[in-house]
Amino acid sequence: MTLSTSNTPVRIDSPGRRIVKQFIEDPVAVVGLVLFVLVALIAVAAPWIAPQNPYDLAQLDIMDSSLAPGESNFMTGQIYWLGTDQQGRDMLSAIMYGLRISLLVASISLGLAITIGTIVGVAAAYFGGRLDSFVMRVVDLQLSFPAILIALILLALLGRGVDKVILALVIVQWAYYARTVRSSAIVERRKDYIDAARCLALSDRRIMFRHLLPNCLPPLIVVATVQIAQAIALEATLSFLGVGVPITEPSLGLLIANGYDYLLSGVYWISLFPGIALVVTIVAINLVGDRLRDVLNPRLQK
Amino acid sequence: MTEDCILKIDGVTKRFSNDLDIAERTARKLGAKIEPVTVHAVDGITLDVRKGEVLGLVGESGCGKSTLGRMVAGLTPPTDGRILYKGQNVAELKGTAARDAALRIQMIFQDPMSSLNPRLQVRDIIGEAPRVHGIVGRREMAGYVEDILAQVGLDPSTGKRYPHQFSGGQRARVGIARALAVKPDFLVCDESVAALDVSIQAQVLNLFVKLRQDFDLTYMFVSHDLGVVEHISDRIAVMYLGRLVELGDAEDLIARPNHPYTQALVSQIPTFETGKKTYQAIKGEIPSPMNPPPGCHFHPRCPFAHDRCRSEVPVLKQVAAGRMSACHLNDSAA
Amino acid sequence: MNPLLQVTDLQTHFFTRDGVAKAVDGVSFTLEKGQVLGLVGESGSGKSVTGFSILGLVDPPGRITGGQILFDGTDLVAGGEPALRHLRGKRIAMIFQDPMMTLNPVLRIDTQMVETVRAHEDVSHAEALRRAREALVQVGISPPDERLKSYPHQFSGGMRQRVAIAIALLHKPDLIIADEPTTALDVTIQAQILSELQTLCATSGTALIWITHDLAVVSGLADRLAVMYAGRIIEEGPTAEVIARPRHPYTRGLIDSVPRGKRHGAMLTQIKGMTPSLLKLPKGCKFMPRCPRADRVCEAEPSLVPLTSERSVRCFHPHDDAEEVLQP
Repeated sequence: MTLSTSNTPVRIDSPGRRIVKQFIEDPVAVVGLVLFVLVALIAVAAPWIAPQNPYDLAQLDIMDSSLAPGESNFMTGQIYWLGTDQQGRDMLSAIMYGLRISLLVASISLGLAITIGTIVGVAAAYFGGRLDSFVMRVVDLQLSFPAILIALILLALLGRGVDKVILALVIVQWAYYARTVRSSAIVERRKDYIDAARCLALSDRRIMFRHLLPNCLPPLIVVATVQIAQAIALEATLSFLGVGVPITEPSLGLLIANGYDYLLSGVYWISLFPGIALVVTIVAINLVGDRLRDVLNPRLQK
Repeated sequence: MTEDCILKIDGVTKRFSNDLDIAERTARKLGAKIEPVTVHAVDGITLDVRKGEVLGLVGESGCGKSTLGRMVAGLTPPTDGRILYKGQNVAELKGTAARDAALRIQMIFQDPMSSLNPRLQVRDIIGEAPRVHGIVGRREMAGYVEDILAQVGLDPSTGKRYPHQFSGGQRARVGIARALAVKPDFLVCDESVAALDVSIQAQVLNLFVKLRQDFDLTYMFVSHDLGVVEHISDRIAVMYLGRLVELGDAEDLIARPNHPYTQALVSQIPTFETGKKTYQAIKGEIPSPMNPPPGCHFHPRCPFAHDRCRSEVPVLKQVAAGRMSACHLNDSAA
Repeated sequence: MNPLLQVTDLQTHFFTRDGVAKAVDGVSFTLEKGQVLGLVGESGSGKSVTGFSILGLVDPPGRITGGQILFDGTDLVAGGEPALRHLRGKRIAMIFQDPMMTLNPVLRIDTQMVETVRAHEDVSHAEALRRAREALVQVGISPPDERLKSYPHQFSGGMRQRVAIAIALLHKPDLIIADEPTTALDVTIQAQILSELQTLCATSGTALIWITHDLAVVSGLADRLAVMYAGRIIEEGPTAEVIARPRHPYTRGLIDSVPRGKRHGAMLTQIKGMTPSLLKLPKGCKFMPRCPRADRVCEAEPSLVPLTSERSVRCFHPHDDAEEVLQP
């Protein structure tokens, strides 16, 4: 049973303000958001705030190899807060730069996958018929294989490189967005305002992107937050397995892989700290995503 | 075709069929009895709408009245037959001619909420089409939208609001304003007042009457509510299971219904009673349009049905001046 | 003799994010055994919430905050859930606008009906089935044996509503609360259901509260009418009296806004303005801003004043008794 106040314009809040209001009601989600913003800031500002440039071999000193956290360079006195790796690279700096690569790869692939998935999904829902059947069979087929398997095969064929990892992630992920957008667009498509727009002789493109798409966004945002965490994890996995980013530009996954050989000999920090950075990033994103899902779900709104 | 005929519906039929998918086709080849289901939503309707009139289209659920309305509004093409707007077949027009014809015929929808895009401000809902089609320049836009808002009885300052900030009756007005903004001369109103409260319904019906005079509009008013249709229409067309069963002048049709189905509908118009009323219901259910009865579709429920009704489809023919009816009883009486 | 149902000063409020909505604010009425009461109002008037309150079906954020509901001498508000549990479905039944509120889509009709019978009475399966069959026959469903074995989705909308009514009738309740049960149905089907319910109430002595927005539909069915506006009853009386000589300007406006039997194509008399928000009700008489007769006096809150032993109205300037709007 609902209270019949629908007739009366009481709520003056715009939908955006309501979402923000409800989002900050959950302290855990706020912590997640703060952590994520922090991680993102570190990644963006890495070249300016990192103690050294880990890619610049001239700055590395082989004498500093595998120093424990807290030890310092005996020439400059610079303290390695998180220790160094076997090449004498400062782990703190390496993690900052690694985050940068990881987030860059994830967000570019996310952007491309959303764009492709959205266009395909909205078009499938709007035009229906054969286009819809065809697109959805392709999506079903692709989603029936594990993402990691498809990515591994692609990278085995394409070779290593940041661009190739991004390409693989886009190919693996567009289908999720296409399916999400299509399923909400198909509900919206049946509503009268779409028929009204058709009656007004507006172009198909305008109806799809100005009328249909904005009303399909909430579920897309939720899926996107889950998927960006997935993308980061997937990229880390690929790099860990050695088919991802090149050694010269190590992402978090590759850093973990580098330290893996030394893990049992007591040199734990080379793998552990990048691992923590990875977990914190993914957990922060998931916390935000969970809350967004609650806030954006119309069925949970009172 | 007479001079004043603005819209001619000529033998229009709409069939919906669900095509078999691969699994069903395979099963069929293996001998399973799976047939594609075909529904005759609208079955060979011919009807003229005169310029400036209000044509009421009534019938119960499944009679095809909304489908016919949607075909007239150009939202779904007829399977057979033609819809001629001012003598032109709308479906065959191309380019700007098609667009102009499409804009001339607008539709007012039933649900005032779902027919408005919740993400757009009212001024964009109303102003988008006129701007895109170049009816109004960018600079005159604000004034144009304000004028239309005032025409439908809304405060011109409400343009910046979103649909959820309006009441049901106001949303209905926004829907009407959106249609008027492209300067139509024909409105298809599909159950446009059915979702509104009684007191608001009266306001919106009055608005329709006012706009008809102000803008010289022609209406096709689709509704299940014969009371509302009687009030607003000049002529009424009654549909039953996809077919037109009676057509005539509104007052005369209500006063002297010819077809037994119309008689039943008219007797069910709820009226104010000051004493207990004994409800006299016509028997039976409305048959499924997927499997309509043969002959006259109404015969299983008709108190006067005879053998001929069970086998032969009655033709719509003139029974009095300005009155058409599709019933075999008219033959036997003659 | 005590009336079957006596509602006194019922208050049901909804505590929302934006404030307290007094959906039902001081509603009182009585209902005798076998009587049909039409509870009429527009959306937001509180008519449905009143019905739900009697059955204790108000969901949070709403709750009954005051008043008394005496059903056959038991106070349902004070008794709470335990008192209601063995009355609900047995002595008081509800019929909803959407029959699927009552019907479970995945169970066969016979399963659902037998379950309902045995929930309140210790009878054999065969006996329960016999009762179910009987109830279906009562509401005009044939052939009952075949229909019992069907699922809800195999029925048309009108048939489903009949099954829901049959389920309501299973325990021969003393009171049925019907919330717009025919609004979603076609007119020919609506007439069938109205005629069947009318016969059923007359033969079994069941009292009926018929909640609706449509005065015309209920006018031929109800013994008494109560018209609600903004959570209050604003006019009450025998149906014939209220329809022929409405005293409250709102009731009169409602009757005038219905296009039936008016001059064709003419402007309808309309009530200006719109239903007020329950969160921002005007001071004094709630109908004042829309009322053609309002003046300074209406800034005070009117009470429901008895005009005769049978009729009462909540208005400072009621219409004259002599003014008839309808010739019977």
